[in-house]
Amino acid sequence: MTQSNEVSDDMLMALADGELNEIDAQRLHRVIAADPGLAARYADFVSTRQLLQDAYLTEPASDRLVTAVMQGTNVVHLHRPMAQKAGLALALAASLVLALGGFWAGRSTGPQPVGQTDLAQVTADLITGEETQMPDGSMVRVLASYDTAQGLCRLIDQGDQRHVLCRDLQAGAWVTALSVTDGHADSFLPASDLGVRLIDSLLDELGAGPALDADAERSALSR
Amino acid sequence: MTQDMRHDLIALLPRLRRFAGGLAGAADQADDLVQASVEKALRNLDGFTTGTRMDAWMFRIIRNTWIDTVRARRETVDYDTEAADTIIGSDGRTTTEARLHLAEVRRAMASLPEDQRAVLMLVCVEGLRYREVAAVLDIPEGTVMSRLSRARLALAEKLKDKPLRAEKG
Repeated sequence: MTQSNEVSDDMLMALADGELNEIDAQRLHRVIAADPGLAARYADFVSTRQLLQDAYLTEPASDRLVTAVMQGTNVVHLHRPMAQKAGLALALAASLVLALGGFWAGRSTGPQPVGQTDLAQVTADLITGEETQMPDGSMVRVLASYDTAQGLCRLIDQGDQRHVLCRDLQAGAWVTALSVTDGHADSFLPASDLGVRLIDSLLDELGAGPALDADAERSALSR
Repeated sequence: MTQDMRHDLIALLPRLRRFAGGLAGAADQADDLVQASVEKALRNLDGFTTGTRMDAWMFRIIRNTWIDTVRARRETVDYDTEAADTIIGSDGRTTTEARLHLAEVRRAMASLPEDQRAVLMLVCVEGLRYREVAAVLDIPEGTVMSRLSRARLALAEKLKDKPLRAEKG
């Protein structure tokens, strides 16, 4: 039988934290019940645990944290900087903007891309971070949505490709503004990668603001 | 990174943010800390062993990131006090007594040394076992217990002067 004077703070704490096996726990509970001094010490360990649990509650993660996970660190700028007004990427992007209405810039190494209308339809109800399966089995994921001078534009990940879809302000139809091949689906591209710079440059050219938060995105999609 | 890992990480975010809040104090600082840690994690996926607990892995990264931040600023004491006052100030005027009391708990927590806050958050709030905390913090289990015991008694002592005990709010 454990005696009161043999009970250390560490034992009381371990009991309060559920670290003792059932037999030891029952034994110690009996000793504590018979000793008010021990009971008071034990109560300190129980109450601090409970108070901390009450004081630190979880809240839903902010959109920017979800975006940080979905996009990785260097793949797409969260707060996109001003366009780098130099270099091949911008020149290419500018020409791509002229071609707005459907243009495949990427090397098509994976499965044939599905039609842009399908892609727009399939992702119409998805907000940033959500994903779904295309009829051909590939997974598509919305990485971000932006308000632009051309209307709502969305950055979509599909396997090894990234697409920028934009909704025509007048007609309401979705067009693919840009598609780039992204290498391997599980790899992260360095920020200097041409495809990423193309997407960034395109968004800057389109006058895209910061990525929309979930509420703004839902509202934009429902318009 | 696989899709599953991303989903697991997103599911963990609320807890990661809570843990970061316990270390950093203010909510916006917690978000910054989690974001920096997520970015680190994504850059160092090799460090994660499939089949092991991702929460423990992330807690470790968050804790190390926080230590780096504190080291860089060299202002941990001032920062903690300020963060705690902010919590009291913003909560105290508008919320119930119960929440005010819980703000007192957070303030008492913020006055403890960083290493004690880390073990308190991991054991009492996140519910990790002592041996798991030892692995996260890279210290022996005995050190976890002695640190935790000191922290608990210090916290209980600070809260003894306050009109609150274990009653739930």
